[in-house]
Amino acid sequence: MTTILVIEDRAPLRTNILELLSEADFNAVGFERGYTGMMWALNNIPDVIICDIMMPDLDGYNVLSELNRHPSMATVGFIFLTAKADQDSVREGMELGADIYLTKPFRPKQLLDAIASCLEKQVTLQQALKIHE
Amino acid sequence: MSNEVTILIVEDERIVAKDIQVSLEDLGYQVLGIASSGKEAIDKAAQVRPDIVLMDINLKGDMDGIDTAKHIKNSFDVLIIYLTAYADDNTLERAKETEPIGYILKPFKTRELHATIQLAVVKHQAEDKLKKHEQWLAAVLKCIGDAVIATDITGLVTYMNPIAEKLTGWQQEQIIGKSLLEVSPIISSKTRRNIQNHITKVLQEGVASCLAEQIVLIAKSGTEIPVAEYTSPIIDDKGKVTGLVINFRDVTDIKQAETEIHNALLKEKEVNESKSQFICNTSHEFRTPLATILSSADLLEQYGHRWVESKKLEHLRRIQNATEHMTKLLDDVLLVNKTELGKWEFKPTSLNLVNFCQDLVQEMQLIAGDRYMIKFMNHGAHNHCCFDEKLLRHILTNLLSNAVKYSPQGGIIEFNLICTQIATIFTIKDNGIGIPEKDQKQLFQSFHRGSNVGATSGTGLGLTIVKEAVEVYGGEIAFTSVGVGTTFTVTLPLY
Repeated sequence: MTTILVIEDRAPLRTNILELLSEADFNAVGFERGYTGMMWALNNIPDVIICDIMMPDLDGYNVLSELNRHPSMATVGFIFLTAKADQDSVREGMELGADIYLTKPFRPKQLLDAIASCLEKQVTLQQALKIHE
Repeated sequence: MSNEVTILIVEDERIVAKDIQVSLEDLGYQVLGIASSGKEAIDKAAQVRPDIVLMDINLKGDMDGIDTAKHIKNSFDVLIIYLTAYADDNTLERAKETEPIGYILKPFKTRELHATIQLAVVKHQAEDKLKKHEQWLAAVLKCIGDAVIATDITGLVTYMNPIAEKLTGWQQEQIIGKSLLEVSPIISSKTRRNIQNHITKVLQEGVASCLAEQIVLIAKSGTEIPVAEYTSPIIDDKGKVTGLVINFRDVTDIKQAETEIHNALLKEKEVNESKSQFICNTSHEFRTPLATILSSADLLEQYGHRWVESKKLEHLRRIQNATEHMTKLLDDVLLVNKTELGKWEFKPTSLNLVNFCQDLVQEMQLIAGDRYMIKFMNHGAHNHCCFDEKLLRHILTNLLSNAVKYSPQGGIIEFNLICTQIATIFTIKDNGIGIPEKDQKQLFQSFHRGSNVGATSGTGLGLTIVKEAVEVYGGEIAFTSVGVGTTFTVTLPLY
């Protein structure tokens, strides 16, 4: 089953995202804090991470930067889901290496399509890595 | 010209004097009188004030003609023409000291007398004109608003006007003949080098110019005065450079104004950036509850048909809470905006402070519920003073609300009112989650929330509003929070 990690500090929204993912038959895990979410990701290697940016302790940029340092996270899809909708923030997020940058509010289809895109990319990457080996 | 010239004859031989008088009058001159001694000549000259005194050098009595002329010239401006039979060198030397306009040797012809007088008058008029022109020039240089210093071709000072004296701190007589840049250096603010190269260039090229860079003049006292300068060569009628004139003015006021404008622009830029940031943050703060509302609505639409009632109700509550949160956020944003526009007015009116606090505590207690106890203690009250109830309400409601909100375990909240002779002090103490040290610096910043607030709802504007309200009141706010619990202290002046 595809595992999706959700890191979002606002509880009502985090609950909604987890429910949406659950209804779409994903195994969804949620964390309130950037740090605890990041540590879980490093230990459990999810398929896709959906991460907010503005969080109290470790923000989304730092979460992604830290995950990028680990080769085990190379094929994990990363989606920023954030209220920072200005162009500079979008550019910054993509330049850090996010696969997709979604802004709040969002429709379920947008999020599910973003996840699907990440999973397709993951398959391609995994195949490419196999050939390389 | 003859009719305008008045003459006093000083001659001790009456017949000679009379003869001279007749000759002069025939020539058209006005003879104002005849004096036969030095004393008589002095008295008469003072009385009639002639243009010319025809003075016999060899007068009888204590004073000869030369002594008499000296005396008359010391008293007022008059032209002396000596009439004398003597032409020896000593006499001439003595006579020279009185700066006579001419000598006529006796015996003389009338035409000779006439020519001498005419030449004397013309020469005197030319000298007078020149003197007046020099006086006018000196007056212009004195009154000119700029400092003016003139130098010769080697750079030694030849003239300095009063403004230059004032600016440099040097008197003209102290600096004449000295090198300007040695006595009162003018240097570049940036390189600290003097402007010798610039001066040399003007002298060599004979073209006026000014320095583009910022320069300062070092006055006698050592003070550095920012100046603007313009240096011109002095060129004679043969086209040769004979010196230069440096005009400069104190631009301290201008520099200060420039600095003030620069600072004001920086401040405005800061304020604009701050406003921009506030708008950005506000939009961000609205997006998350909107995402909650939209996602709950979409989930209800898509999956609601297979959910139990309680789950559906949960989502509806989520929508309601998010909407309420956004409404509170909007109210707070508008309030903060009001303070930034300066529209929050301070309007103190008579208020029973103790009753006000007690009523507030009752309201808050009702909202907080049984798990909390808000204890109000009053230490002397200023019941005859005036307070702004609206501002007080904003301050105390937000602080009490925070004390309750951030004490998830419940417990006692102490609310104290202390009245001194000059101020009213409110303290609100809780035993809640406290404020982490790393958050304390930004505590009053808009949208900043403590890193330990978790899921506790809040707009992040409550303390911003409290601080603004305290400032409008003219008061001060402080807090302490070490580990567990927080105490806020608000001190407000009495009105």
